[in-house]
Order: sequence, then C-alpha cells, then structure tokens
Amino acid sequence: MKRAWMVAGLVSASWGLLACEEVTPTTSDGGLIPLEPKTVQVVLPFESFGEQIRVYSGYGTPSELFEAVLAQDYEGVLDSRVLTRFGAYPWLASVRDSTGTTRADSAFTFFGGYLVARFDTTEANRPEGPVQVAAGGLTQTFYAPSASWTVAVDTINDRRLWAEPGAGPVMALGEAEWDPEAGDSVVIELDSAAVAMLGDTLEAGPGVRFDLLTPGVRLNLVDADLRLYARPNVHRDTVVTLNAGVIAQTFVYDPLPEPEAGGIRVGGAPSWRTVLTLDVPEAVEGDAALCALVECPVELTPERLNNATLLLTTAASQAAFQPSDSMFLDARAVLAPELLPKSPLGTSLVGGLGVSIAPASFGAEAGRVVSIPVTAFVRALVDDSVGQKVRDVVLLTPFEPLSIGFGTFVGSGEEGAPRLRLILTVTDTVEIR
Amino acid sequence: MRAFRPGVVGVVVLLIAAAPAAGQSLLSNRGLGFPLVATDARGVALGGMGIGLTGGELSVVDPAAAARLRIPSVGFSFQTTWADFDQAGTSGDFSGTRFPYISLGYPARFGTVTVSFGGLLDQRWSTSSTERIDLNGQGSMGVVTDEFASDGGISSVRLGLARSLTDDIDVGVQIGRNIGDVSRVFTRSFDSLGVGGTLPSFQIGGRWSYRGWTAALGAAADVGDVLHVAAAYTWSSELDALPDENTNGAPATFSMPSEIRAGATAILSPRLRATLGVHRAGWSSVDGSFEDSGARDTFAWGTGIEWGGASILGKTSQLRLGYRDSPLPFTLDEAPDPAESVFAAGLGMDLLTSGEVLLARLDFALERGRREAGAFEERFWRLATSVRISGF
Repeated sequence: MKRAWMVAGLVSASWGLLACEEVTPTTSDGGLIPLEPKTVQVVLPFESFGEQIRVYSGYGTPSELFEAVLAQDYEGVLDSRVLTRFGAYPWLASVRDSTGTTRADSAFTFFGGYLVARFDTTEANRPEGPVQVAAGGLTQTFYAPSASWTVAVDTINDRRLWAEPGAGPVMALGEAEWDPEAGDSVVIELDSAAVAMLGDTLEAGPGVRFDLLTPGVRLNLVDADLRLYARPNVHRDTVVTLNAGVIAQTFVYDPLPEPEAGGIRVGGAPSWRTVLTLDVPEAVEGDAALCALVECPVELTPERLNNATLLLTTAASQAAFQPSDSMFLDARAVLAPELLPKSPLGTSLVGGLGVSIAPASFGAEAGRVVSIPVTAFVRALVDDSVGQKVRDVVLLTPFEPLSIGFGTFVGSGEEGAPRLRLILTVTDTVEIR
Repeated sequence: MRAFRPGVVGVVVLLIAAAPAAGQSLLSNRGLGFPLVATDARGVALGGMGIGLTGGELSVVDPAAAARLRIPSVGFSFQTTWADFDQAGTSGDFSGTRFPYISLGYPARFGTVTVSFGGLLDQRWSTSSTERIDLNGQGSMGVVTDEFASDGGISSVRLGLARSLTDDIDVGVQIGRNIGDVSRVFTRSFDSLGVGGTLPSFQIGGRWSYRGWTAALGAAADVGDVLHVAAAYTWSSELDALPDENTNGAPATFSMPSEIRAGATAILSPRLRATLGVHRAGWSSVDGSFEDSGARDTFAWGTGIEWGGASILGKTSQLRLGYRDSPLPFTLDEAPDPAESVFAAGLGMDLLTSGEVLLARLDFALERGRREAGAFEERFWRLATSVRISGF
C-alpha cells in the first residue's frame, strides 16, 4: 500500500513540475480586442490650468553644502567668502625620544604652521588661470548655520552683526597663489604669532576667513586644514606636524539675488522653491484636430488620464548664479498650503534624484523645455472620490541646498509659460459579453 | 476497510491546488469560452464522453456510476497540453497544465455519496497588437502596444447520491453550483520615445464572478453480461456574471444549456471491451448573448476499445485506443462550424488490489487533436494522468 501511495505521489509531483511552463494562448489578432481605445495628447496653456505662482526662499543654509564658494566680483556682482573654524589644538602626540623609544608627550611647543585649502578642480569649477587666495583671522565668532554677509550669529535672542559686512574685519594671516595647473591645493604659511593667536581659546580662535583676491572668479573650496609645527618636550630636536580639524564651515556671499516677479526659481543656497497652484478643468474642449479623434469636450477622469507632464521653459539665471553642474528638479504636493512656506510635502512625483537639467540650460542654451511628471498629482485632482484636493505643487531640488546656483524658468504671462501636457486614453468600459 | 486519513486527502488536495490552470485553446476567446470535459485519463482514452464505462465509478458526468463503488475512493487527474495554431498567416504556440476534476466517493448505507469538482468552460486567452497612432490629429505619432487578456473559467461543484435499485440497475442524482470568475483586462503600453518620456501603461478591465445552479439525473444498467449502458441529463439554471466592486462593466446573465449524455460498454471478451458515448448540449440557448460570436447546439461522439490482458511491471494493465469528434458551440460569422477531432491512446495500471477490490490505479492518456474554425487551425498534444486511490 505504501508503495502505491509513493507512486501516486511521484506521479502527482511530476505533473506539478511539468506545470512550470505555462504559456497562455495568445494571438496577434488585434481584431479580437473588444474595445476601440483612442489615445490623444492635449497641451493646456497656463491660463487653462494654473492659478498662481509663488516663490519662497530660505530652505537650507550654505553651511550644509559639501563645497564652499569663493568669489570676487564674479560676473561683476558676486562676492563670496569662506568661514572656517578649527577645533582645539592637539594636546598629546606620540614622539620618539633620544633613545628611540616612542612616548606620549603632552608638553610640546607650537612654533608655526600653515593653512591648506583644497579646491574643486572639475572642469566647470576650475579657474582659467592662477588666482590669489588670502586668509585672515576672524575677530568675531560666527554661527555657521545662520551666518551671512552681514550677520555673524542669528539664533533665538542672539543676533550679532559683523563689525564690517562680509565677515570683517579680519587680521591678515597671509596669502598665496593657487595655480590649478599645478595642483588642487594652496598653502598659506603661518608664523608663531598667528598660531598663538588662533590657539588662544579652547577652539582655534573665532576662525579663519578665506578670501579670493583675483576678481571675476568663482571657485569651490572643498576643505581646509590647519597644520601645526610642534617641538616635543621629550626630544627637542624633533619637529612634529599636528592637525587641528575643521569643526564648522560656511560661506557668506553678497548680493542675495531676488527673484523676478512671476518667474519660477528653484535651487540656490539657501534654496528657493516655487509653488504652482493648479486649477485643472473638469473637461478639455479640444481643437478641431482633437475633436476629429474623440468626442469633445473630453471629460478628465482618473481612468482616462494616462500621463500628465508639466512643461517648463528654462530661462537664463543671473550670470553669477548660474549652476556650474547639472541641476536636479523635483516636484512634490504641498499638503498644507496654509502653512507655507513651512508646509509638509508629499513624496516625490518625479522619483529618484529628480529631472536632470544641464547647467547650460540656464545660460547660453536657455529656452529648453523640461518635462516634470505630475501624473499622480493631476490624477488626484480630477478624481471625484478624493475628498480634500491638494492643488499646490512645489518645484524644488531634491537636496537643499544643492549649489549656490539656481534654475530659472519662464513664468506666467510670457512666451514659454508653463504648460500642462495630458495624454488621455478614451475607451468604452470592458464588458463580459 | 481502513480508517479515514484526512492527511492523505489533504495531500491530494494540496497537489491539485498547486497545479496552475492554463488556457486550453485560443478558441477560448469566443462566447463563454472553450468547453471542457471533466473526465479521467481512462475516459479520455476511450473517446472522452466519460459515461457508460465499466469501472468508471468516480465519473463526474455519470451520476449513477458511483452506485457500484464499494469502498471510499478519491480520483483526480492532471492534463498537460502543448499546442500550436495558425490564423490568417500568423502562428503561435502555448502550453499549460490543468486539472480537469477531482471526485470523492463514500459508500453509505443508503447509497454512495459523491463530491466532485470539475471544469466546464475555459476562458484563458489573450491577444496583443502594436500600432502607430496620431496623438493630436496633427501628425504627432506614437507607438502603442495593446493587449487584452482574459483569465478565468467556470467550474462545477456537485454533491451526488447514487444507489443500486436492483443488481442490474443503478440511479444517481447530483446537485451543485456552477461557479468561477473571470478577469478581462485591456492594457495599452506606450513607446516612450514616441510620446516623450516614460509613460505608465493604461489599463482598464473588470472581474466577474459566476453563479448558477446545476443538477443532473442519471441511470445505468447491465444488459446481461455483455453490455453496460448509462445515460444522464444535466440541467443548469441561468448563469449570473456579477462584477466586483471595482468593475464598471455591467452584470450579465447567460442561459446555460441542458445536456444529455449516453454511453455504453460492450464486453466483447473477458479482456476486451468497446465503448461508445454521445453528448448533446443545447448551447443555442445562449445564442445572441455575445456581440462577436454566436452559439449552436452540439452533438459530440466518442468511441474506444480497451484490452485488459497486458502486464507491466508485474501489474495488471490495460491498453486503450479512442477517437472523439466534437463540434464546438461558439461560432463566428466567418467560422460557423468550429470542430475538434481527437485520437487518443491510453494505458492503465492496477497498482494495488485486494481480492476483487481495486485499491490504487494509475491511468495515462495521450491525445493528438485538431481544432478548426474557418481559417483558424489548432493542433495539440495532450497528456493526461489520473490517479484513483481507494480504501483510505
């Protein structure tokens, strides 16, 4: 009996394996499709779907950028300086004494040092020739997240201005020439007095301000180091080099560019966002060509809406603030418009890093059309089952800030104003007969 | 008789549940689908009518057959199909496995109680085509791929009672539900280059559940020691197709046909038997219910011969040959006479017997068939395996 069961089981199992290859009977005869779907494209001008455009600023701070910006009269407009604060000087080092034994020494003497600044040498950020870089010791402390051209500290109940706009004044520490052809770093030597001055507090003084002295240039400072020469007590003939690490860094710049009225601006540091309030119609009238394809007006329903794309036309940003690298654009629903500019936002409508836009699109090649997918957003707008409609969509960079450069797009009332492209599929209901 | 083992039955049910159902024919796209016959591999090899067979006690379509069941038994079957087709210059192939039926019989003092589940109509098919479309009427062209897929079918679950009136005459009755569901989904995919950017596919469709009643009445008799005959009448109520809450399509009601089956086995010698079966279904009752296809009454017949003198691996075995000719019920204007013809060969093995009682049997059937409907032609190989286990 057991053997019979085993045989039966094996046979059953073998059929189960055979069942792995399942191919549904399929034909390429389109005539068997019991529907006559029509897919059409409709492009709505801003007046047909848009209500207003609002621009907000202040998202993120320059201190959050990975690279700080140095500029001197760049494009005749922009000045930018980097503020760096270093940590306390090292108090312990391992030093080999006169007998060759390595010992911990905490009684050494600093007698000099140097500052190292490393710059971004990628094509778009590299100056065309040598530039002059200066360093100065700050005389005021600064708070990196809130420091600006005129304000050193701006926190609750504590607002302190710089004695001079532009994070001044400073005590000159030195200057040096950086030739991008020779390397990516510049070294500014410090004498013992400067080292003593920078190390007279628990931190290395209020900090160092880096200036670019060569006019018409903008470059990015990747990082800075303060390196100290020390003479250890256990072996006075030896010189060791120690590091004081960076504990805060930001950059301050002038001027802050104001957006053009009605325009669309995204990016910058702090970042700009643009909120578009939509009023999508319930039905599309359509022109003669469209109405020849489908019955007009075409009612907009979530089922029919296959794709919705916001078409934006790029415009030239102010020259000093044109992005130097690709810019990424995201779109999100504004969930509580009454709380703007601090409204919570929905998830990304674009996905990933957003739509990538070449930097030239905001300069020499302005006028490009950029497509921002907003299908889910518009579908919810035309869905009667959605109770509370979210009508505001914000355009922003996926990371804020992304760079000092920002993107500009043509606003309403101008040629190239935002448009809404809809792809609709109109068809009968699937029936069982 | 051994004690009932629910675990064993559970394994069987799991095995069957694990077998996916697959489309049986491209002709499933017509009417209510492609008709299925819930027959075991032995019945398939003997002409496919499944009625009037000696030793066919677990037949789903022969209500009286279970009267001769002496011990609790379960039977189930698997079928794997490999098919290819030609249609107006295009061709394709498909394959898949389904289970035609499972049947359980339990003899009681008042007769044999049966529970069966078998397929009635298959609705699995799909079509796909690609075309260029003008998106705005001004020459902005896009390429779309349209696909329409139907997935589902209709089955019958029945509770039956069969008993012998005399030594030679048996009767049986079944009552049950015709059930099932089908999803019909249209999908349009866009060539992203044609429309600018990546577009998600457009999809619309629905899902319907089928509900209806069915009942069958049958009788069987031995005529001397040389002939066994049986007949059955099956009635079905209207079949309601009810859309689910997410379906915009309308509900529908279909008239299901009444069916008459009859079959006979002639015992030509102790080891040689010949069978003949017929099946008439009044599908014209549903004519006019479909936009694209009509329906007509069908009369199918099948015949076979079985030789029981073989021995394989020391087991008593049977060799079978059969033929079936079946008009198909759902028609098109350009294909008014769709039909199926099948040659079959089979092998049966009595795996375990106890005296006169068969405790385990294994049957195989290999079919080679052809379906024609106007310019459409479909050829298939189908391998069926049935297992019958008794005395659990």
